[in-house]
Amino acid sequence: MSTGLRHKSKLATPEDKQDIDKQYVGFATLPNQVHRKSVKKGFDFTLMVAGESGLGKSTLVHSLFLTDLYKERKLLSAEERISQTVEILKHTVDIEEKGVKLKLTIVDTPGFGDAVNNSECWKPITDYVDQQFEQYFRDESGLNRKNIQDNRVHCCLYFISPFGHGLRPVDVGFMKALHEKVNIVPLIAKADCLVPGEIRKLKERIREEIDKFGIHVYQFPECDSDEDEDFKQQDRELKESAPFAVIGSNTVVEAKGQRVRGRLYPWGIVEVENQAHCDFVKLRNMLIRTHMHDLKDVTCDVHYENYRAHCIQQMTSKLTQDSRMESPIPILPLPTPDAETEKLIRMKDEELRRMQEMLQKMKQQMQDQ
Amino acid sequence: MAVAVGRPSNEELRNLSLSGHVGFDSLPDQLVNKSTSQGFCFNILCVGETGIGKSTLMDTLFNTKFESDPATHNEPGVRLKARSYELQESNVRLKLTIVDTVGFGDQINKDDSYKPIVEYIDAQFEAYLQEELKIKRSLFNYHDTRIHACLYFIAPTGHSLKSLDLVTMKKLDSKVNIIPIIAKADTIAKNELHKFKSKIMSELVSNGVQIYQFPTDEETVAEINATMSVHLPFAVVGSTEEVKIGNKMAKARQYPWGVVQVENENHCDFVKLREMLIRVNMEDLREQTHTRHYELYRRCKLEEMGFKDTDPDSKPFSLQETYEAKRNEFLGELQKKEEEMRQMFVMRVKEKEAELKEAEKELHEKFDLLKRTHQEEKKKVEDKKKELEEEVNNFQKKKAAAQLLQSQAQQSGAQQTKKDKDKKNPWLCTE
Repeated sequence: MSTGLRHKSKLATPEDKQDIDKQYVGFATLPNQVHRKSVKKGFDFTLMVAGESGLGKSTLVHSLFLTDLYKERKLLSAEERISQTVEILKHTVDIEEKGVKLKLTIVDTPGFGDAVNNSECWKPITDYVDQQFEQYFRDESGLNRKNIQDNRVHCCLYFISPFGHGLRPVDVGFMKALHEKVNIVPLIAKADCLVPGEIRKLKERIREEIDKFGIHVYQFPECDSDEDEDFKQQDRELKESAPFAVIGSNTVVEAKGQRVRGRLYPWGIVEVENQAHCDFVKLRNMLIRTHMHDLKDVTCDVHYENYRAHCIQQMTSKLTQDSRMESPIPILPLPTPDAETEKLIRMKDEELRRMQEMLQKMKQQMQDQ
Repeated sequence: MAVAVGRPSNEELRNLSLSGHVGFDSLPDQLVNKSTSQGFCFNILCVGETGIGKSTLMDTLFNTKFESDPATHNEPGVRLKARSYELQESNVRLKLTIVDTVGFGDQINKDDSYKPIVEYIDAQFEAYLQEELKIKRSLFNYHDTRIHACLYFIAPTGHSLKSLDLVTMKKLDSKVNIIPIIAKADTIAKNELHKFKSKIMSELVSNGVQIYQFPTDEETVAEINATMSVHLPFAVVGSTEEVKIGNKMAKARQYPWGVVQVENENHCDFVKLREMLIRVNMEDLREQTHTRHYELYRRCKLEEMGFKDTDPDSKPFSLQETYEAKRNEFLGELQKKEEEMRQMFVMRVKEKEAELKEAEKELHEKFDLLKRTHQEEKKKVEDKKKELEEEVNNFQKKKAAAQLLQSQAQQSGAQQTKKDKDKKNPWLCTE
């Protein structure tokens, strides 16, 4: 319509198409440009796994990313674990698929919930998460910001034991300590010990308890209303099956003539990727195929910003008390009225008032006389 | 464990052969008849974390439904819940008591989790000991509440024992027959099961935990016990629901990928556990509890109280004398304590009296002081009043004098002005 910017097609086009060409500006290629650039830059993702020993965390990570991160792992015996403290172990791998590079960091928390006395056993973990935030905060506020390494934890998979009736006190304590700092995705581990009816009951129970204790787990974002029905249906199913009941496996077995990843029992074969057997596929899709970037966004926009605001508030309140303290980051001085001038103003006001009173008195005296 | 009966060594026992049937081979039958008519009693303690399947396994073992509500995870501590049931099979009556540990393994700090369990077991031993030491006792119809077997439920992590398991089992192994079992075993694949079992057994051995050994001294049961011991700890699956398999109903758990049959030996060790616990060794468990664990407790307890089997001169003490001596000692101590308390009481009363007297004196002093100050003030006020009155009088006098003067002055003034007026008049007209 307007004779402004027009995309001139180099090829000969039929008449009816020309109209459309006249209106075509060309920024519809932006997604392609973003795609190209991001493939070139590569992605990074930090995943934390937490839960008691023996719930299948390493097996699940293996199944999810199809790489074995724990080649030489020494499992402690029971007596060594009586007073064990929680460690933080990081494993980083670079994996590539169809040209897209992913730098995956798995943060493991061995020793969590293993000791006899587990008071505050989540403290090392919260300290680690805060440390990463602080590191990023400093980098962001520094002078040279070209190569910031983002080590912030984007997602935490929390493994809930299927042998109980719901959440345990240590689960509740951990989630409450971390729900404002990390996206928590609760999972029911080793789901092959629960029949479908029991899984349903346990999921309901856990959902109830999460509400009761006010824990903010990661919420899947609402899908747009203009998405197709299929996608919306998938999204709804996803939301209804939270928390996911997962099974992991390191081994490949023969089932019905096919080689599948699964667990072999005398009474049958559990297929990890069978949706009727467990929610592993849903978890994988959610974590890797659809929501990975959303997890990163929520970490940056919500959790990190909360941390940053909290940090700055603490710093400014400290500064007003003690002006000699150097702030590591440049903070704009807030326009607060100076104490000195305020005092002067008040004095002058008093004087004025006194003079006025005197005048009044003199007037009265004159009238009397 | 065979009990050795001491015989005086100077007597020679001769083996005689019988020439006919006497009939004392019916002694065991008489014993059986007697105990059957009395009924048996058996007490099981189930130790394991909440939700691990203790109640379900009990239901499955005894083929009935013991009513119990599942516990929550929010118990502040461990407590033991005992329930007694009367079961009957053929003509044998069994008084079964099932003791459950509610809240085990749920707390964040589990340092004290084993204490309520140990206390409960000791309390049952204590009750029996008290009954035994009574003057008029009725042991033959005493309801024995001592724990005969402790089923320890191990969570199927696949790695090893948990630290809490190790600590608790070490505290319990000298007090009760521990039978460790792997609960919810349908989550462990066959290849992992063997590794898991051997890891658990090696951990128990290396930490010196004594679990119950199935007896292998009697020929009838030696073989079966020996073969079963190899499979320890038993990996069990419990279920009260029945599923149709083939053409009959069996206890099983139905999964989307298959059906786990509880009584199928290829699927789990439930049948082995039932054999061992109930069908073969129940009586042995009771005997072990009485002869080993209870005797150990009794010995420790009595030693604590100061009893010894022999006095310093190696002459056997009689229980009676020791008891008398203890009693006198105890009474003496009581009297001493009473004296002490009385003295303290008297002292306190004296102190309080002295304090009160002091306070009274102080009050009197204050009162006197106040009175004096009051007097002084009153005097001052009166003085001032007098002064004022004087002044008023003076003022009145002056006022009267002044008035008088004024009236005098007015009179003389009036005469004066008249004179002035006359003088001034000629001037006034000219102006």
